[in-house]
Amino acid sequence: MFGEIRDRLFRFQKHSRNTRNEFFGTHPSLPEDILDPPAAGRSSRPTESLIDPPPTTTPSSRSVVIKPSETANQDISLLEKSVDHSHPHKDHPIHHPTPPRSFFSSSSLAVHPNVETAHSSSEEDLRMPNIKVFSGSSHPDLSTRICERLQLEVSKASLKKFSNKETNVEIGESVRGEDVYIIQSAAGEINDNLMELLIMINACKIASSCRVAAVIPAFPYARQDKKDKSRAPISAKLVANMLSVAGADHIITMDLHASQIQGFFDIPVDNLYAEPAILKYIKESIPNWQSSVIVSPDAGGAKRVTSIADRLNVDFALIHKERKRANEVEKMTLVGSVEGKVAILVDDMADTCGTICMAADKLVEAGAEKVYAFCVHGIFSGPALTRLNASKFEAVVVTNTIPQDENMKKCPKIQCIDISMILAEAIRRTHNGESVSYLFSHVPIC
Amino acid sequence: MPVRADASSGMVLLTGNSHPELAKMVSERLEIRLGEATVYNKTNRETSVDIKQSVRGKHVFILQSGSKNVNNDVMELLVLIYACKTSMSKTITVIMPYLPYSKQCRMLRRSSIAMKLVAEMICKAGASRLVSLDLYKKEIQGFFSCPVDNLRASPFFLQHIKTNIPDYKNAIIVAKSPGVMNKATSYADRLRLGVAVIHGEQKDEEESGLEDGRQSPPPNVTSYDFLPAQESKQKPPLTVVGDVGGRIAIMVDDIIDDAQSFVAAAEVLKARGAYKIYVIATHGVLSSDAPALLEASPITEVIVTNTVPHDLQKMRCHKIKTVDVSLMICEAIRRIFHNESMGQLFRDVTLDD
Repeated sequence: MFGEIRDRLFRFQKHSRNTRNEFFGTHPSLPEDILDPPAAGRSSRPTESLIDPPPTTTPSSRSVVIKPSETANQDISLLEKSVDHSHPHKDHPIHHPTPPRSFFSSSSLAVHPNVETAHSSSEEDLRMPNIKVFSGSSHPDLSTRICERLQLEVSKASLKKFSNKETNVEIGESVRGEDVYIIQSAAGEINDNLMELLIMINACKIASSCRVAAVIPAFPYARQDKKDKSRAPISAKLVANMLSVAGADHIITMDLHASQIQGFFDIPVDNLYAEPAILKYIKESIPNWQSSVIVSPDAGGAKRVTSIADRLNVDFALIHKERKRANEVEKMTLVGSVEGKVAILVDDMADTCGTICMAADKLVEAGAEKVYAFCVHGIFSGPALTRLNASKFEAVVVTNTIPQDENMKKCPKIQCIDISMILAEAIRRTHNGESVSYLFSHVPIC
Repeated sequence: MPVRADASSGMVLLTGNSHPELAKMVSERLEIRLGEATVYNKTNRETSVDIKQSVRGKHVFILQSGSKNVNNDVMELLVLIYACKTSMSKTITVIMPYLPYSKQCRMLRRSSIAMKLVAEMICKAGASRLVSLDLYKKEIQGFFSCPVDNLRASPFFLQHIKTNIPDYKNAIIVAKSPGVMNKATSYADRLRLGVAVIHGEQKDEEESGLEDGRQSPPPNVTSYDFLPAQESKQKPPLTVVGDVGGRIAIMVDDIIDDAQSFVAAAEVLKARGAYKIYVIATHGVLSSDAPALLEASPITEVIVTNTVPHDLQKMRCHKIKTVDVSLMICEAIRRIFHNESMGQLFRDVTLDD
């Protein structure tokens, strides 16, 4: 199945070759008129039916003609908009077995994990040029997955600490003129990881990279984004300032705690959503989801919950916590009904899990048959895992924006959705200059 | 007896043309005279500012609110700030009870974040501090690179509810849409009342399902199975989650502009058995034919503050009542000027409010 995806990815990339040519035509390291790469030294792949040189000589709307396969037609229509119709080389048939390479790139050949598909698809010709993906030390597993989907290798960088605990970063490959993506999440030692990210961004920037984008699946300090008490700092704004000062040109993140955080930056921020992946999981793994109720554990998540409930066409409810007063126990009231239904709690972060465990008790009390919990960022700090083990949840589902291997071992109720494909697609589309908006409502398969 | 503003008091209060009545009330409470500055539009519609008294070394407070002429107000404010900055004033504090463009605070369909732009412009023009009332989203505080104080109108409203609504103990706080749920629960907490939520088919353009779906390619590409499509939202008709039968319904929100959604919600509440419906909104922008819609609806009363001038609308609809917040603004100015703590102003404010 992975091979199929790769083949489709290749077809996609072939179709977007013209787009890439336009994109790389303005690349600082490439001369403007490089369009036909030298065939010498490249393994000439057998021309399949997939690549037929365009026989047309008129500058018609189709500049790339591909043998129609059922999926290819759609690709053409998608990409027609991005193809420049005044392509100078349209008149003669173009053989583009390989995309133009950067002269200064020292990207090594990827070792293909699957040998037979390596021969059949010759992935070497179709890997994206001019891109380097680095991984911070917070989530190496996610970075490996993302790079696997991108057909790249994680680029080499040494991340160490000096003996006085200062972070030491050395970039191991040339990034001159490259589009660099640094993947670092707010997990584990957040301050150390944040410092590492800032230093890596700065290292790539002063090594003359073309553009540095930080991919931060879980954004650090996202909850301190407003002054809700006297003398409270707005740490999210501070982190945004630090990232801009370090030299980031673009941020890709997932499910920000509040989408206003996009406004804290002066650089473009892509806030991707895990919601399509969660909906897919609900449909596939929860039996009789059609008669479930989506519940929000607090008042702030009402909007998120109604959005999911609308897409699944089910009811919703929410839990309203009354403030603790002297001699009063904190009361939780359920607004809505869950009698005899499967309750699905949805929240964006699961930190100490106090609220959702109490919510689960309340829901079972109110007559729910089973209770599931879905959180995008599974932080699980403090007594969270013991609380979950003792709770009434059927399953707690999180995404792998934060590494979950340890947590899944300690608490068997935790399950993990892999969102590496969403991030990989976003990186690929950003790099190729394609639209990312498609991802806001679609999930790349598996 | 009002003293001249620059008679060694060190405080100068200036205002633009957005809300002269509020400025007058605040200056009376502060017992200083409004600073002498004329802000007017020249014949070619450019804003011109002429400050007739010295502001050198003074703490300048500029009171300007959003109103019907939003862009003129913003421009007046920026020019005033810059005029004071280049005239060597010591600090410039902007008091903007209703911050314009605050609804455009995030990316929607390839738009810009206009609030961020306005915030940058205000800080760049020279403001050293901003004071506002009931910001649309608290995260807007982070858009400014200067300190922002977000005062709350809720103490005034709670007072008004307790004194003017006789059987408020039999009320229920209703959130008109799930986005205002936080505000509704904070009011419900402080009044010890229950809460309900209205959800469903609303013509809410900016909050529709296409929030970030800058859809290109088109969304119903189901035959292309590389990326499976996600279903669109199927909104049910307006429903109330929670029990409002036989109670007074109090809808809380921060801005009442186009009254269409409030009227639709009120119809549903009435159908579910609420016998009186109140609407509490901090900023009564009430544009176009909102007064006529409200007059004809089952809403009993609409309670707004005087942050946005709405005298004309009051004449057309008798259900609109005003709560005066100039006391809070005056207190904020005084405390800022004397470098005192503002903690007292936030004493009864909950985390959600």
